[in-house]
Amino acid sequence: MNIKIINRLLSIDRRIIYILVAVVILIPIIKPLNLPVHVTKEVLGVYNEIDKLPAGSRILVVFDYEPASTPEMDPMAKAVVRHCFRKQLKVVSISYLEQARGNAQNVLNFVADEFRRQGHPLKYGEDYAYMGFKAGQSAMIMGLVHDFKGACKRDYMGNDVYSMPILKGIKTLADFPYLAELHDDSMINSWITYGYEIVGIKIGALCTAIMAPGIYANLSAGQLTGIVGGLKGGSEYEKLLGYRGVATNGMDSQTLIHFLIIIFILVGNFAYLAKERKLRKERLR
Amino acid sequence: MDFFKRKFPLIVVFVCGLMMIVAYYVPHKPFNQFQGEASNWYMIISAFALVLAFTSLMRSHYLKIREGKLGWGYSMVMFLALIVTMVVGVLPYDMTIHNKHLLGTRSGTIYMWIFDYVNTPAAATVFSLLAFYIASAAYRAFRVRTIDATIMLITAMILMMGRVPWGEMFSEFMTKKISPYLVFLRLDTLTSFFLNYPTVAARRAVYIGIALATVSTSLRVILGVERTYMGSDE
Repeated sequence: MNIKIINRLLSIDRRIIYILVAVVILIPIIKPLNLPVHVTKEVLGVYNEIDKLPAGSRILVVFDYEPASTPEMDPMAKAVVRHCFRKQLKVVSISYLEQARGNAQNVLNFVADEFRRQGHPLKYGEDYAYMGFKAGQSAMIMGLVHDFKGACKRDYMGNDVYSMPILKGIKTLADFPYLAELHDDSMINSWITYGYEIVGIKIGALCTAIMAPGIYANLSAGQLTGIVGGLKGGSEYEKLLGYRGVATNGMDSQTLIHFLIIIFILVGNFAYLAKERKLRKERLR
Repeated sequence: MDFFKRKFPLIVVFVCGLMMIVAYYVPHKPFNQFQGEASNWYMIISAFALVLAFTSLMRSHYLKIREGKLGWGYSMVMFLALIVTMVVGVLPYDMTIHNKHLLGTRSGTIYMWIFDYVNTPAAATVFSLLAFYIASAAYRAFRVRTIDATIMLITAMILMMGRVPWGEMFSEFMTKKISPYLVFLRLDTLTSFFLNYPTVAARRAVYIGIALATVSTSLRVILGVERTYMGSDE
């Protein structure tokens, strides 16, 4: 191969790479590919646990992701809350990240309004409730383990939790049959340490794709029932619920960009190895 | 004075550390109540840390504006954003403007408008830039210079293909159209293998290391061997 072509390949302007990335992401948004989704056992681990809860059970959904992760986490958050409302579960939510408060309110209100338009009269305080942001992280979880209402005291609107119908009979964290933790950091470790290990609550991890590989060890140890990781996990959950949402449509773009990056790696290394071979030949001469 | 500066903090750390350890293992009264109380104390103390961080930030940007340093305009924007968000968020929800609930932090307020239409898009945009940087780095920097790099590259490509629909479709094609004996080469099977075995093994090793280091450091702090929290004099 001509050395000039190799050098041009190795020094390609990064703006061309950025434009290619943008085009590849935009194409499926304009013309969807409708690629099929295959469900994995990790996502089934979360779905099945929620699905087998009897109607009327309380489930704790923890919102712990920042606005930066909203495009990746919102689709799976909405899918899980939709699943809970479909099963007539009572959703109790809480946040340990200050910036997660807005995401929690948006997701809960969005899905609740959607169900109300479909004729389900969901009521705040009876069918779902948001305790708001609680400072203290691990210390707060320890507080919930021993006295849930005492640790919360008031919800995000200032209502007294002791008089809320949804929390009737709830004394400690152990009174929840399941906990779904939506996170983009390592808070899941605190929930496992103080939640699962002390009271044995079942936990499902719903996280960004970058966090998922790190918690397979917890899944393998039985500390988690399942993992819903990134947009892929969200698309699998949407398939289980029977609809094509933002996560499923986003997988089209993700497929193309993954393959584009693989092509970049192969072309870049091909040019690099070709140059190395040429330089070695010139040295031997 | 020397007692309160040097000895008293060590006694407080020792007693509190010991009580938290006992409270974790003893589920009976009064120890199980201590953890709940400790979490309330922790929240109050962390509020003070927030005040400290706030004043430090304000001072830093104020000095930048006063001295006219490069980028002082952005400091002005920071002040404006801080004051507006703080005012609309701190004022009570019950205080209405033209009979509309626009203050406080609930849905439908100015604070949530700022969160939905300024904070979230800005944060998501900055995070999304990573996609472009990763693509550029993959082309320009990801080189098979060593055997380790080659193994990492091959694993990365298998995982990237195995986690998307085309990879699953390709795996289906391989096993159904070419040969069912190629099932062990299915991309989704290989991806699952990498995530459930080597990754778990490496992660467990890291967790054990972190746990041992945490126990060691905690014991050093509780027993007064590690005193960096007391300031530069120690």
